Amino acid sequence: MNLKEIKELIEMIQGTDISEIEVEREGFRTRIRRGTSFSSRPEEPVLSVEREAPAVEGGPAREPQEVPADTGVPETVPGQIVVTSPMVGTFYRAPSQGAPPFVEVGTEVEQGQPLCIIEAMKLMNEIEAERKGKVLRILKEDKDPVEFGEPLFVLEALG
Amino acid sequence: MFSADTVRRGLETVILGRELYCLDRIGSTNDHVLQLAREGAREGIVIVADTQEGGRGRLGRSWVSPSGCNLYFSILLRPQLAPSVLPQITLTAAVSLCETLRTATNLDVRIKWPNDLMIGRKKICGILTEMTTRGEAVEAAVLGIGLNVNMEERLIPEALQGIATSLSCEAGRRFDRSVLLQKLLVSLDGDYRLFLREGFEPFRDRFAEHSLILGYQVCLEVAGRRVEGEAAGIDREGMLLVATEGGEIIRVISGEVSFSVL
Repeated sequence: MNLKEIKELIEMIQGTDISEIEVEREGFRTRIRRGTSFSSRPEEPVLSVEREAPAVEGGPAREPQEVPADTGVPETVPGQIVVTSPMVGTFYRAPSQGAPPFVEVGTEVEQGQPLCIIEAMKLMNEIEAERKGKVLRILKEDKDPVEFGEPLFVLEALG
Repeated sequence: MFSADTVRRGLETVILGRELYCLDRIGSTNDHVLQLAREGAREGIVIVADTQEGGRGRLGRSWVSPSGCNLYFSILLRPQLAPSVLPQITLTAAVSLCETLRTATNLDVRIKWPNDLMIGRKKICGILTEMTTRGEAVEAAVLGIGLNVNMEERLIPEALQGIATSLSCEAGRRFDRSVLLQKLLVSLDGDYRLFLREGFEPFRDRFAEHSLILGYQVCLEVAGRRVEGEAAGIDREGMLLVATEGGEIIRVISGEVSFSVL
């Protein structure tokens, strides 16, 4: 399979519910798996295309390996708020390099106060606190890739 | 300084620039519009400044903003869309600005994914989109544009010599900033409304057509890992597809792309 054909396959499965497709031709098997956009493991490509050795007839097909998203979702505790990422991107704790972080553990935030920035395709998204609270946990490091819906902070609801 | 009246006169837009203010000097047009957004300003308001004292790029980087020659303006958008699709607005704006500048100047303006406009290897225009969200709701999205129009070469700081240019440096003639701003606002207005109706899809081929990097070897850092390969395409969500020599296709959402040194 050439690059163009692989690209066509990728385009074909986008916008569908298909999470994985495997095509075997001329003794080569190509498997395209729709990953979550950035896996929690940085070495894992976003959309991996595996080229396998020529398939041996009757040979055991390799089982597709699941890539479990380590969401690390904290348990919901009454009185606590989990702030999640509204988009895929890169997590920034400060408004600019070298500037102090928006919040630290223990910071009390008002409704509307910025907590962090998520950057995607150079769009800088400032995530604001939905309500008054105190920062209990910061679940991501500066410049970590984050997924849609991934928890970023745990706040204690105040007021 | 050109006046708001000149720009507004005959400005045929539906959303953008129905309210438009030109200021002599300001910290940063994006900061100003973000503040107006917090105070409840309506979608489409445009702030133009003759000079910015604290012109910004991403993450606190500065944007050189001398007076009397360039365009610095920010637009408030309040799209009723999920935050996750908003990054595509930056790409949509890049397409819109690129096409208008190509027509207006006859210069070979191209887009460097995702948000810079270039002539050759020199930057002519930067787009900084800043958004505030609470939960799943977009509070405001501010599209900030810095375009080097009539900046003379001597005004380009030493550190940016060779990597920044202006329309007049490239074309050998000056451009009327009011006329140019009108044209840009009209095309951004039409393209923003198209984006609201149909999303990024109508812009995808247009983005690829004017791309600076597609088909070239590029390198970039993706989540702390250095990736090298051919910039192979733009996907439906506007992400860059990089094909590595190992046969991997990597979808890039974040990262600074540069040409590989061959």
